[in-house]
Amino acid sequence: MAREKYQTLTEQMFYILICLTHESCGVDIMKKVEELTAGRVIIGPGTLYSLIDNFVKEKIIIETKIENRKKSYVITNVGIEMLEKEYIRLKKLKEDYELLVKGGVSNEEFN
Amino acid sequence: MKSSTKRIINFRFYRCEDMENKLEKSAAKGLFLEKIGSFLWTFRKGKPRKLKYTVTYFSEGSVFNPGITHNQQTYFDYAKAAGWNFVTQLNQMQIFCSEAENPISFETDEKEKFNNIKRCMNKSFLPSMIAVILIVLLNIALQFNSFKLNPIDFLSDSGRLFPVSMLLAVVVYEVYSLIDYFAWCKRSERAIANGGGVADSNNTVHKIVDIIFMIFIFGSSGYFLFYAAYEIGLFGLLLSVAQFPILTFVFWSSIKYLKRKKASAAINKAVSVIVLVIAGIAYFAFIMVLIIKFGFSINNDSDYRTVSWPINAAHNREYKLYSDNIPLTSEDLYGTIDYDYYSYEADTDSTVFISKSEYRQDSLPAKDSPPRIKYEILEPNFDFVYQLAKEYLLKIPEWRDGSSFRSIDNKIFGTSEAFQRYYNGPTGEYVLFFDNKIIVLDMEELVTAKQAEIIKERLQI
Repeated sequence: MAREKYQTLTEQMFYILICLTHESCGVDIMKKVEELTAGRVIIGPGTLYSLIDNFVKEKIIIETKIENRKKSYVITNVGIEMLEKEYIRLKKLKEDYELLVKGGVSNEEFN
Repeated sequence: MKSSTKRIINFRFYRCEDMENKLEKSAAKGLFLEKIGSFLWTFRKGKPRKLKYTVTYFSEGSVFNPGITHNQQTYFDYAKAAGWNFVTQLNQMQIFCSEAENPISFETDEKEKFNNIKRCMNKSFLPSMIAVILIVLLNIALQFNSFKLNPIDFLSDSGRLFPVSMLLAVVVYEVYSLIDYFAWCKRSERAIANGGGVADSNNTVHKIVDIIFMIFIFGSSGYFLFYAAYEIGLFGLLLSVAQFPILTFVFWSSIKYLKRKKASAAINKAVSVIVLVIAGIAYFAFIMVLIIKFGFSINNDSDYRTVSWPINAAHNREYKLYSDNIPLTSEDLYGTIDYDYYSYEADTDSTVFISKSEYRQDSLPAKDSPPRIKYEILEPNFDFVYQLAKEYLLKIPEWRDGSSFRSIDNKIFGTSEAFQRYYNGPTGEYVLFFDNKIIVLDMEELVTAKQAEIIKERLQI
């Protein structure tokens, strides 16, 4: 089920998951993503909550501890697998782009 | 100057933007939302400020929660980190505000936003809408049953037609809201699939529909209250109208009390609903007792005198003798009658469908009491009402064995159709059909040709 729903990850999902390769809490994720992308990707609090909630339900991440009301999470193997698949997909995109656009292969040749 | 003010805010749960705009405008005028109650929203007065509001839904939110839940606290923490301060909540609806000029959007993924709204609606809005529709439909079905039992009484009684028309209006409005919600879902889904956001709502259409509905409901209830005041008296009216605020108060008190006692949401909900039902029944019983004890119902602008009359050797009974004006009397039909205890009663009910006038002249029960008469004049305003009335009047219930209607000569009363009831021979019961009215005569004896002439003249046939 998880697989089907998250065939491709949105940018926000991708960034939340890569942040969670190290244990962190929700508020930290929000800040880290903003820093990492220099403000290009911003996750609103409502969206962050629903995504984390869904990821936990789908066992993509797990809750690790609650400290001062702060809940921390970390990615699971299911999540790692998903990230890996997404990474391969993105790499393929990049390669194809380079092959066709940057590498100078003309359209006739490609056909 | 009072530091706060209470307002009634009309809103739909799935239209966050309308509400956000409203709250931002209020803040710009110096009114800041503080709390949402059962009816009224409390605003604090202050210096006008530019604030941004966001209205979102949290599926765990509930009026029955004893406090902020752990997950809700996490939600608030995320909001705070993004510069959004929690203002207040009502059920699942959560309201936040921010002082920043361009705060981070609360929702940055339209699909998640939409799914979240849908999840919350499935939990509260839809079940409650469907429950209201079902309860109202059940009520309408019961009313329809009483309509089928006696369409004439039903259609001539404003006291029954008005509640039904209001119930129908509620069903139409609720169904419209449901359709509107599903249409909004479809539009949003399509928009999100095309990379857009959650759909906007069509404000003008909604406003017009809301206004029409409000005018109808307030107009009808106003008319109904006016009618009820006449029918059951001011005191009775006050008791029935007071029911709504009293029961609401009981319900909210129960919720608040259990919240203070830290009861869980499930227990609070179950107990409060039971308390509400019991209070409803108790209130109804209370009104019933008052009616039985004091009989404050029944309108009476007609004069009457009370006589005590022997019904057997040992007992007397009180009888009310009315002296209304009636168009046709026993005296007209049978000549001068020397009798002091006749009661003359007239009762007219009129609605858009039919006007019904019931007249009767009763004598007190005794062996040699003079003749009683009873007659009804029906004037249907529509052909289908005429047909319904006709069908009803000529229907012979199964239990009336050996009773039948037989056609009589139309010349006698100048009718288009006329029937006489037979029961072991002809009786004094006639059902007379004219082009646009129906007269039902209920005499103790058969009508003679001479009496028929008098009846025609008196009832202006």
